[in-house]
Amino acid sequence: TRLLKWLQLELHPSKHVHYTVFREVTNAPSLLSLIKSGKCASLLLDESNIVSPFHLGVAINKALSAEASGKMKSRSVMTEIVLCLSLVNGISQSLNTFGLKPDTTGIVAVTLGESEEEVQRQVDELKGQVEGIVIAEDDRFGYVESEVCRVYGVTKEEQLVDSLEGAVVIKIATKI
Amino acid sequence: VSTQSTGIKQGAEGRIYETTFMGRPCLAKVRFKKAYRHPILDEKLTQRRLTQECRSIQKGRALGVRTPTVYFVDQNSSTIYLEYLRDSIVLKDFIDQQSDGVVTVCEAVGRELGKLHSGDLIHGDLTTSNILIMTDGTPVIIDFGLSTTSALVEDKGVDLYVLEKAFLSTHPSCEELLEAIWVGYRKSYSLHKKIFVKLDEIRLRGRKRSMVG
Repeated sequence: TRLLKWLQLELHPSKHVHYTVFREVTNAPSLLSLIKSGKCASLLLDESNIVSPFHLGVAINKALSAEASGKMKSRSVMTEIVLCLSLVNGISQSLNTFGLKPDTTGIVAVTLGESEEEVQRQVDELKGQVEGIVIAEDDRFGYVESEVCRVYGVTKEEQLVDSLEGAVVIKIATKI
Repeated sequence: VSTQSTGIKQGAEGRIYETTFMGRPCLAKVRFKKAYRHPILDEKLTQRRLTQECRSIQKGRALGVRTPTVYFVDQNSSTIYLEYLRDSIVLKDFIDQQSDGVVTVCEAVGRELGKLHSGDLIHGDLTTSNILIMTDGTPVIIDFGLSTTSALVEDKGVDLYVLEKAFLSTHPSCEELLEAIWVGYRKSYSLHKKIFVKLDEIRLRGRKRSMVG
C-alpha cells in the first residue's frame, strides 16, 4: 500500500519525511526497550503533545536544518527533532514530555530516509513492531489541549489571537 | 531560500520572497549582508536584529495582538520564514478603496496599538503598509524588524508620531480615520493620556517647527 503521510519540506528536498499514527497501542513498555537497544529506526513520540502534522513538520525542518549546518545540539537527528519540539534545551526533560511512556496509547512515529524505498522499508518494519491500529485517514492528532497549553505556555490571550497550532509553531520557531 | 520562491519586495534591510512552507504560502525575509561593515560586527548586528524581531513578534502575540506566525528562523542565512496571510489587504489599500466599515476597522487598529504600548512594545515603523486587515476585519500587525521594548512615554509618543506622519501623507484629508485610531488606542491603553500629551510636544518639535513657547 502506498504510504500517505509524507511531509513536504521545501528546504530539504532530498530528504523523505514520513509520519505514521498508531492508536490503541498496547506494547509501549516493550517498544521502550526496543528503542533503548537501538532496534527502532523511527522516532516514536507520544501523541498527546503534538497538535498537527504541520506542528511536527516545523520541528523536523528545524532539526534537519541544524543537521545540515552541523549545529545540532544533540547526537542524532531523531533526538534533535525531540529537542526542536521542546521549549527546553535538556534532552531528558524533552524526551519525558514528547517521548513514549509506559502507558502511551497514541503514537506518532517519524521515519526519515534518503529515498522513498528506504522509508517504506522502515515503516513496514515499524508496523511489525508496534501493536496498535494504524490510522490512515484523519489528520487530527489526539492531543490534549490543556496539556499542550501547559507544555508550551500558551496563554488565553494567545489562544484568542490565533489557532493553537499557530501559537505553538511560533514558539518552536523562535526558540534559540 | 528554495528555488521555487519569487522575489516580491526589496527594502533597505533585505529582500522578501514569496514561497511555500510545507505547502502553505510563506514569506521569506532575507537580510542582506552589509559589506561596508566589519564582517564580525555585521554578523552580530544582523543576528541581534533577527532575534529582536522574533522576540517582538512573539511578544505581540502574548499581548493579544495578531501577528503572522513564524515557521522557521535560519540564522545561517539571516532569513525568517513567516506565515503569508493571503486573505488580507494592507490598511493602506483598505482606506484607499473607501471600503465599508473603515472607521470601525481604524478603531480596531488603534486598539491593537494600545495593546502593544501597554505591554511596552514599540513597533518602530508604524505605517499603513505595516498593518493588514483580514477578511473578518481583524487587524494584523507586521514587520517588527525595527521594534524595541521601552516603557518610556517618549518612545511610545514617537511610535504614534511616525504613524501620524505616514498616515496623513499617504491619506490626506482622512483625519477622522486617524482620530478613529486614537479612539481605539485610548480604549485599550489606560495610560494613554501621558502619551497624547507627549505627542503634542513631539508635533511641536518636528522639522520646520519653531520651539518658541
